[in-house]
Amino acid sequence: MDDLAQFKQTFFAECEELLGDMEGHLMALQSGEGDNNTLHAVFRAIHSIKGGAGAFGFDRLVNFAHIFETVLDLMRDGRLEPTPDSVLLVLRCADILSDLVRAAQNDTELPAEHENEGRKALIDLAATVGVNADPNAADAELAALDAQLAAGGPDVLMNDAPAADAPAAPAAAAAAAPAAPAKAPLLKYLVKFTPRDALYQRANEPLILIRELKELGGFLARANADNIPPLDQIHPEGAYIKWEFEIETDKGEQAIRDVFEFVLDDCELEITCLNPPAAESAEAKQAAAEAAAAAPKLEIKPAAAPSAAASTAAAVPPKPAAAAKPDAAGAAGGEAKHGESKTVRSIRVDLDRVDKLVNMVGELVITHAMIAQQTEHLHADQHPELANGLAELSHHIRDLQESVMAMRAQPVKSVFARLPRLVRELAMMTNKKIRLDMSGENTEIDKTVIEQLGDPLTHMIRNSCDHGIESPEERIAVGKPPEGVIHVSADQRGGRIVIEISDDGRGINREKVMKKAIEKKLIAPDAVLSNEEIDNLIFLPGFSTADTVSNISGRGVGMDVVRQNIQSLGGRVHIQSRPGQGSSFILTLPLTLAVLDGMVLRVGEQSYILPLANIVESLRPEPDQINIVANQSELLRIRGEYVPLVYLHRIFKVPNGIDDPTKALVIIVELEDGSKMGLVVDEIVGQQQVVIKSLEENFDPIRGVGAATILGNGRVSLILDVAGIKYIAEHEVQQRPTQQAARLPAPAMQASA
Amino acid sequence: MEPFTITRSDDVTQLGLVASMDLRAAEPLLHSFHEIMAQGGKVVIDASAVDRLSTPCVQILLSAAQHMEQNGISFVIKSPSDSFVTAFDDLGLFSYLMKWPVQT
Repeated sequence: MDDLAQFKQTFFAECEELLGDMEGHLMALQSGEGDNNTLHAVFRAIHSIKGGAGAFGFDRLVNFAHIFETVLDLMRDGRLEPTPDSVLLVLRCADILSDLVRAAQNDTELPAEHENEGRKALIDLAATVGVNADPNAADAELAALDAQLAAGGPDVLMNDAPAADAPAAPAAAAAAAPAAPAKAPLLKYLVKFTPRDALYQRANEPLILIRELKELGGFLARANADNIPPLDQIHPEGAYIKWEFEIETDKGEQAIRDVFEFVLDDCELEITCLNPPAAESAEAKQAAAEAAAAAPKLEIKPAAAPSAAASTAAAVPPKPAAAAKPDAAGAAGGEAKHGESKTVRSIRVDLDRVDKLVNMVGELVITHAMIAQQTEHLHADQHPELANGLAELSHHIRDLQESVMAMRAQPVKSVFARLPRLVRELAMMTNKKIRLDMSGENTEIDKTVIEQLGDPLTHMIRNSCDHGIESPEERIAVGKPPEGVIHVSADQRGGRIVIEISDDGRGINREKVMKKAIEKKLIAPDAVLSNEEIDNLIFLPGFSTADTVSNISGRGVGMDVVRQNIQSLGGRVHIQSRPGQGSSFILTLPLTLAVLDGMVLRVGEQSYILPLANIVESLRPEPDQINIVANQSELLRIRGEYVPLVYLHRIFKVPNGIDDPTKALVIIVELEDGSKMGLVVDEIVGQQQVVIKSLEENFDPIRGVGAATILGNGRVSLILDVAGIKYIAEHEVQQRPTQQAARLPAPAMQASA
Repeated sequence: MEPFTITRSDDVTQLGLVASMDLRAAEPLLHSFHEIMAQGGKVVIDASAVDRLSTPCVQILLSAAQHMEQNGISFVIKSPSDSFVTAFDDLGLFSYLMKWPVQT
């Protein structure tokens, strides 16, 4: 990949983060929770995208972003009131901006009219306060200035203030028009700008900065090219020209600093106000200082260089602070919200490199297990140093593994950020009123899981919008508010992430689902299914209850794909539905796909790994704790609770497994739906951290087995999937051989079975 | 990127600048000038196709012009495009451009 392609890749990755962040702020705006800081954050995101896009010549994107940021600038300055209509326009235009970014990324051309409506609406909105946001008008201004230049020679002061003998530049003149409320004084600044080599090496371009400065007001550029070296000494990426700019603006010094935001580390910059207001009182100064401290747009972060224009030839250019991993404080407060001046240093590392590191740590874990196994026969008191060394090594490996996994962890926010737009669009297409609530966006999960979570989430949201939420009329008729609510939440429970998508719609029409399933021959006509089983029919391939195929939920290929995708991630999905009240899709996903803490079990001659997260307790039951129900299933009575027993050796047809639970061990495991099961095994060998080797990648999926691993003795061992085992136990394996019918079930149990 | 074209007829070497004179073009531009200077003779810099002009390329042009002026090499900027002129103008270097012979 050449440098440019690498810069572009970085730019688009950062755009994705910026758009995601922006979406979060837009949601706040939409819900009325936004404030000026929210507008600042949205403005900054657009400004960053524009900066990078300019460096790569994505003119259409730059053009639209320019108009968009002009309107947001007017909003944050208080000149434009953020009314419901204007907020709606901002939301729509954010979607258009995303489309333009993606079109640039995919090198596709959107139809010319794609942004026209939004563009016109933005220009019209800006015009209501006398500002011309149309960059074409700025072109006209340039032409006028060219004429001035031609007449006056070089270094003509290009003042936007209306002059009697010069055609006023429409945009800037309008910006300086007296229509603006509480107009700031017109101040003159001298800006000394000396780029360093790094500025060019990071693909930054002074021309872009200069053209942005020109938009602030009256502008004069003086270049000093005295240091240009001879032709045989010049370096193509050297910085030899320095500039002095005189700028007359009412936008304040910070607006000038904002222009240099992404190059501050790579230049010398000195800004002096040439005509500070003379009558400024101490109180006014104090107030200005307080305002400056409170306004996040004044925040300058040397480390926050988000545009690809700021990318370096090195593999690790700076990363936008806004996209930095939220730590506990960040998650609680949100840096954009408070605008505290924090220095967040981060780097962007190619995922392949991290993956290699993860693999190496995995191998290290296996090697450690092998050494530990080889030395377990040695007495610790005879080899205290070896024992201590191994214990320390184990500790360090665990720390190392956790650190590496933390590098891969990302807040689910990055995938949640796409949802508001999806819901907005679906609500529009279905003529429904739908509000999206989200919580737990800062829950962190492995990047691989995040990457593959987008499609399933989209399918489920579509399903909720299309089938779940009713039309406003229907909702009113059944006594619900016209606006439906979809709540998406993420939460870490034990070693897994639980993502829940709930709606307050009509719930699953079980009668219709049964009818459709019989019609499609997915179940027998006389099948008797529980409510839960009926609900889960929607995950069968080819199932769809939509009377007409819509382009929203598709052709019934959605929910089975959702289940497949989630299962391939080592996760599970199930649905809970309450007729008339709504449905919830519950996804449980592993935190990581690389390692897990497991218990090594022996059954016959075989070893299995049971994930520690599933284990509640283990015990050797007394005979009177075992009850047999309907001469089929064995139940373990434990502290007043009945837990079905499942013999692992019968599930996997392992010879010589212990058949009597009172002589074997019962491990009580908990499933994601809260149900419990007693796994009967011969012996617990010990606890171990194991490296997950995907069976799907290396072999084929096997029900009841989540993955495989390599043990310390070099043998391959299967990692159990308790939900799959439960399924096999319920559907495929006769759990209780007839010769074991000696223990009779208690009558009470028969009744409750 | 598209390559610079160098054509030579009689004692005149013409360098055709490309449309996108971005950062990536700076190094090839410098090499082109090295090649032209080695050949000697009058130099015509055809700037008619320039659509984007970056500061690094401007610096190379300034250095080349300085070299030619100091070594008595005659040169001319041929048909500079609007983008070419605007870039010099925006950079505050219009006065430098005005000192060079321009052939429209």
